[in-house]
Amino acid sequence: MFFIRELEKTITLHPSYFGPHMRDYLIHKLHDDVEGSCTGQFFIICVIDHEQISPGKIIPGRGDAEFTIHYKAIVYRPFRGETVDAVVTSVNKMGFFAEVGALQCFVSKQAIPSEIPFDETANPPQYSDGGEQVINKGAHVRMKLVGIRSDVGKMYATASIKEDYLGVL
Amino acid sequence: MIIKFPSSVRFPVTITELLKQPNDDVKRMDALLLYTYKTTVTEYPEYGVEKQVEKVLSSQFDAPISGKIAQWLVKEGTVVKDNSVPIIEIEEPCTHEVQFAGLCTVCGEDMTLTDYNSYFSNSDRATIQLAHDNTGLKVSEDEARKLENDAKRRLLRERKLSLVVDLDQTIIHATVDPTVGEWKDDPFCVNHESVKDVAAFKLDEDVSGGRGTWYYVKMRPGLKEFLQHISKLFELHIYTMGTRAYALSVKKIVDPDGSLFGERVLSRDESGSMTQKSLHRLFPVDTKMVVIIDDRGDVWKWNDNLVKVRPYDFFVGIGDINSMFLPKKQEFPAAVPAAIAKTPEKPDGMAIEEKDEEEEGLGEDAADPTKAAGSTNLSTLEQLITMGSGSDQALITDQSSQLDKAIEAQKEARPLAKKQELQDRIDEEAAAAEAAATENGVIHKDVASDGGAHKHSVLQDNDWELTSLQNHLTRVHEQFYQEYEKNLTRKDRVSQLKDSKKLPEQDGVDLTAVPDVATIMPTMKRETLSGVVLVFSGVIPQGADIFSSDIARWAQSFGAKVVETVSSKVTHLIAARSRTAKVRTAARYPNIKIVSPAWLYDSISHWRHELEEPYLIAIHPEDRNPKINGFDGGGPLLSSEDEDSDEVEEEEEDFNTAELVDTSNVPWNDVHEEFAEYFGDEDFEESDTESMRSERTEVVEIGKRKREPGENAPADLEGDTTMDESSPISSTTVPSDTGSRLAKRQRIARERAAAGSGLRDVEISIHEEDDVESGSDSLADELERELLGLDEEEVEGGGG
Repeated sequence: MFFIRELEKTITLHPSYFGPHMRDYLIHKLHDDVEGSCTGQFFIICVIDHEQISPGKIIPGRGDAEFTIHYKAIVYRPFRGETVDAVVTSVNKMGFFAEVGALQCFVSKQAIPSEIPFDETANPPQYSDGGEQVINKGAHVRMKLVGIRSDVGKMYATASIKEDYLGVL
Repeated sequence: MIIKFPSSVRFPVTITELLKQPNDDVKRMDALLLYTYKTTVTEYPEYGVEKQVEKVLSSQFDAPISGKIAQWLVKEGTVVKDNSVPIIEIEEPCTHEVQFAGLCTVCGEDMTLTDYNSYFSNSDRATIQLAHDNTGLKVSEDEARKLENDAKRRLLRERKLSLVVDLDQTIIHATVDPTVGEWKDDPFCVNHESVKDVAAFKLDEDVSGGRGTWYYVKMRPGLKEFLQHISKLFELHIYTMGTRAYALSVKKIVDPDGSLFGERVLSRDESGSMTQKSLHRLFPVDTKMVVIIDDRGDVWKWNDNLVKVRPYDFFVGIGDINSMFLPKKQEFPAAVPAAIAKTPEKPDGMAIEEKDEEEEGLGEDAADPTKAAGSTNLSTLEQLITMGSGSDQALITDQSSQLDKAIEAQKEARPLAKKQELQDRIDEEAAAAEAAATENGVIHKDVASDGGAHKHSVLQDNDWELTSLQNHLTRVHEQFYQEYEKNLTRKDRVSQLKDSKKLPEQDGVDLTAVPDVATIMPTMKRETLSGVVLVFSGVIPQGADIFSSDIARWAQSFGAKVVETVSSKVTHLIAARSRTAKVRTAARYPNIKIVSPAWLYDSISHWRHELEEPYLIAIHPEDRNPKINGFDGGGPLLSSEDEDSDEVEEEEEDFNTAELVDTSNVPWNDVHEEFAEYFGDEDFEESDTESMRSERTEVVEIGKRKREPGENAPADLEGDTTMDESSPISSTTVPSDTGSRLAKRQRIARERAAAGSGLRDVEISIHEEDDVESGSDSLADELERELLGLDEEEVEGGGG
């Protein structure tokens, strides 16, 4: 699910950047650093507003300046049981991998309806019922997140398409 | 799942109460039973000293997993002795067979969570990586077996096998030398013809801001046809030590529509090891239906499923750009005839380089100092890198950066451009020389100095390994399915006898009848060189262990026996150069075929005992007397170099029982002449016993320089001259106290005489005999060397 969230980021700036464009540089660096990153809880998609940049504080002994920026960002946080749309990235005999934005998901064979078996001889490899439903690389699927695990800076999920209204779009 | 007590419980324990009944649903952490255990505790009474008291304490056991209780395996009052006793069976709703990044893919539970009660780890249930392209996905052993059996059934139905294909130097050759790109773009370049079908792709470096690296990939000749044909018989997998991006890019070149390899690409990013390749990474349960093709045997630990192919070396001197992490490759000199592109030489292999000059006639490797320096750099770097093991993450990062550096170095150094420059120079020189030779013909000169027509390309593309490889793989496939059918019919008969009601397995596929490629293929390979006993000379670098060298192991896998020293049992001497000590020794055995390494490579490559004739090395006339060539008297020359003492004994027996041979019909004049020729002494022409005496003293004189007379040397010569005096009874008149050596010598003499061959050989055999018998006697050795008049080449490494 997407949220707008207020966040805070501390940026350290080398003295060579002190000057008239310092503010631009700080904002540029903020966008560079946080957009697309994952905190382990959510993905920061887009910085939409930077409310306040604190006055810089010189770090004693180094000359670098430290700024704290309060900003608002659109974040994406997956939840267990959430239904999401994803793009299939890789298919193998154990299931398929799909990406929900930056979140990598795996849908195992047990979580795929048995009417859609794995067709190993097909090129590219795919799950297909011989008719309309073909899950191969690049296919769009709607699935339900079953489990989510967060690591430092990373998130993983497993999902299922074995329910009504789920599967190939 | 059957639950046991964790090992942390104080055994023995007595079960006092069962808190749940069968068919009850339990959650994780629910109390299952109560038990008592004995322990000693220290008590501190109000007054008095502390004391140890044995007490019976009670405790409860919590369910480590959720599920439904199937049955109790203990009763109230049972005494449990240790943690091997099963307590309870709980049926789990999910057994977490397939896990992705620490998550169960079925129930979505986090497998990495642990608490006081988790004495076994859920993530240990699934440890096998089965996916080619993802290391996060793991399955349990049962699941892996199930999946693999499914895959095998499918393969059997399609009558296919699995083939694991290596990329670099096996089916393609890649380089980052930008020269190739320039040649490719320049239609007038002399190399344009060779590189015009080289494919290129660009990979970005990990570091941001990098401009990316262009890779140039040359497909092995005949690759398209090879893959097309072989993909009908095999399911193809890529297993490379390159990065994933590299592997995918190469796959796009060799298999543009993905019909051959599909998604079955395993790269170094997923391999799990930087130095080894393991079949179990792809086929964790069994490898009965897997064949590997690779140019390196060591990374597979010479697996029985491996078909080692000759490395494809199109871009001369580049080698394998992804081999940085691997143990240093053992280089062999001149694997191929001069016309074919050559492997880069080790900078320390001076002798090898010498040979190159001779053989190739171009001398490009040895003559180029810049190239030599470059390769020294590279090899030291390689050695540094390969010193450590690949397991350390920091090391891997370090190695990666080293690899980048090496690639950068290759881009900078442009070894190919240098080679071409050198080639041009040589061509020019040749042209100049030609011009000089035909100076009077002005027109000729003009044509020659014009250069264009005479320029040569450094790149040669005449490698036909894949054609023979295709045949071998087809044969392996045939053999496998023949065997399978045989097993199947036999099984059918047995099962019909046993149980007529039993239904045949679906699709007529029976996994138990599957034969093992790892037994079929080695048997086929071993037929190739069975009965061949090899000695290497000038092939394996000095100081290296012969038996662990790649070429020896390769030859052994084809049934050849590799020995260290030349003896009568040896059938082939693989010599890189024509005048090594071993060649000289072997030249004296008419049964030993002295061949160039190309014979071995071709035999191995064709899985066929090639005819030796085209590969025979020209023996210097001094090493092999023409008369000896004519000699074909029964069987090999005897020599005490036979390491097999049994045989020596046996032969001695032969001697004892053998009737004495009349040597009176031996043309002794010829013998003397030959002897004289050998010693370079004109006086021997006289050919009477008198001169023989003088000759004898002379020889002793030679010996004196090194040791006192009266020791071995005179004794030897005594034996020799006795025979020289053309006395047919010499063998019986010799005093017996000289021992078996003498006896053997006599025997040799007799056989020699019987065969009517030259005396020289007798002489040589005897000296050799001394050499070996008095192994520690270096003087005898030196004497022999002097007698044979060997040059410094004689001192050849034990490595051969």
